[in-house]
Amino acid sequence: MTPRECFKKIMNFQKPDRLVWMEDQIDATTLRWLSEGLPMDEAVQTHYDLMVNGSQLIVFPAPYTFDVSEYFGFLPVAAANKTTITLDQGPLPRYTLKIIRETKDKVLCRDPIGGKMEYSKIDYTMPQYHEFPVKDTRDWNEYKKRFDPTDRRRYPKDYTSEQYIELFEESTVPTELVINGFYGFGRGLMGTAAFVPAFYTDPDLVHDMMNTYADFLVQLLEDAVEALKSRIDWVFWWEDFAHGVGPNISPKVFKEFILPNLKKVTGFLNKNGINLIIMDSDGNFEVLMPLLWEGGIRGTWPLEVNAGMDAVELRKKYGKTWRFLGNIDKMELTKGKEAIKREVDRKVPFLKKDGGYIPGLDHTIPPNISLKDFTFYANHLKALLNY
Amino acid sequence: MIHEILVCEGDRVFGDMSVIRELSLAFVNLDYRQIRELIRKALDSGASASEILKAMQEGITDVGKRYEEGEYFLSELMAAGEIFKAAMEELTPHLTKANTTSIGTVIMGTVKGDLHDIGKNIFKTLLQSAGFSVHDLGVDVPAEKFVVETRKSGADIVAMSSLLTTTMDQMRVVVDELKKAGLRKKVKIVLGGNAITEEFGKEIGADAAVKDAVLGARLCREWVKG
Repeated sequence: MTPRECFKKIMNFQKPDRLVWMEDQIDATTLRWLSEGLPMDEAVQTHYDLMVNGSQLIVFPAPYTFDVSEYFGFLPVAAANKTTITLDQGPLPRYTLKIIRETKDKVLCRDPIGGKMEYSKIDYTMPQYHEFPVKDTRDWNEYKKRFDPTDRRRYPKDYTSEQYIELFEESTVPTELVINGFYGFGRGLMGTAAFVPAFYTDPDLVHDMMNTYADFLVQLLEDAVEALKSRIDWVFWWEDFAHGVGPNISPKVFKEFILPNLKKVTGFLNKNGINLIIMDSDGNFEVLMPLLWEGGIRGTWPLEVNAGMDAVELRKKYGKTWRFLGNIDKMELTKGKEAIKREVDRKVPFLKKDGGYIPGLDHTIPPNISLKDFTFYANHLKALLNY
Repeated sequence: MIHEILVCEGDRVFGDMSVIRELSLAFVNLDYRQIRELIRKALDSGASASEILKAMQEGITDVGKRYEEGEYFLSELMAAGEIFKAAMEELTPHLTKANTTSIGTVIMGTVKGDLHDIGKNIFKTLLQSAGFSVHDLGVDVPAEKFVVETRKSGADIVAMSSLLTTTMDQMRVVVDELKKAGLRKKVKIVLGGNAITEEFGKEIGADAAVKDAVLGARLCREWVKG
């Protein structure tokens, strides 16, 4: 079976011959592993494309980063963007990155969303946001002009429906549509500190943002979705709306501001035969799961263990409904072989029995995991997944 | 709108009640739009600034309780924080030093290498509303700064935050540096953030490790009560 066939079987609670695997790593981890013996030619992969974005008519190898699935010999869920439908959901025209202040180790700049961020020049931590582009209704009314769904720059430059259909029909890896969700939209434009209380401090503004964004998404997705329909195997819906002990927004807020808009978008997808919508959110949002299901969400990644998410318990509670991806505690991979085995053995055999589960760590592989420990984890997992 | 729905719920119906009670309920009902007007109304009715502050503190304590009981979530907690800030803007010109006596001093910051501050800022608002004097050192704070500021302020409590697994070991460095400086026994230490666990708190010698700002604030109140 191809990874795509296996993926479809798993997501329909049927038996594949092997389980696909979902991991992601950051450059800091790859750098650590290089110092621990990862071969350089494995870390730097290449693909072929026209040089300088097509301004020189010569095909040249272009490097891209380490593919963890390929290196460890697993069937992948995604293959370096080749099976991801990329529709630009950001502000257009985009803001240019502009340096405001630079010191020996930090850079303060205007970011592509139009806010101000500071990033480190010496390590790979997330940037610190100093300012966001939308602070009030006046900002939003101006900013929303950048969300024109009919702007053709939002589609790939060589896009035609025929080319797309051919590409995605032939793919052996699941085809994925990535959507930026509603909370993610508000947080991106206003920042958590302003957006989360705004459901109470400025409800009219938030309603307008959510409603506008729902209409924008449906109109933007229309061409690709109506051309590809069920050739799109899954939707990766990014939200990140929870923290260690609960969701950032209450069920009451979710119901009033997000659920009707979520239904509008998922209803459009469902109408076109796309039903598998997997939500990406860190933290613990268990209390929102019934509402998310009502809104058309059918699975979730990464199920952070430290936040109290447990795929085994959730499977027992929800049966063969929700699909789960991830949930192997990354912290256990720093505690030695016995801890790794204990964590994997408690979850994977039980979850693979019924299907609807793709194993992987409960988020990006952090740089405190050694290549040796990760290799042990990967080999142990392979033995359990019929490799 | 949400606050209108809440106002109509059973025991929260506004009726013939004093403006002070109304003010306290505005927090529970998360009535941001009314808060400034209610403060002015309370002042006009002759209520003292300390009575008003007490009503606000009761209101925010009630919000915290509802959060702990699972009725409210972060959205409600942060909204209450914004309401508290707006109310304080109205009330501050009327407060005297006697109204604002601190119940304790807290030094807080996000440890070196980590730039996250949402949880820390919620914790700060909750501590301020409870009557603590808070020295917020910001984000990416090196251990030496925690030590210098703890000594300078005579803090009762040191609060550290780390969201990232990659930076949580910095908390250990701060605890060790406080020990070396002879300050460890003079302060309580509380850790917060998504990455930390109770087990980790014990391992590095902190007094408490919490994932929740409301619980952290409650602990701090208990510590200064003795």
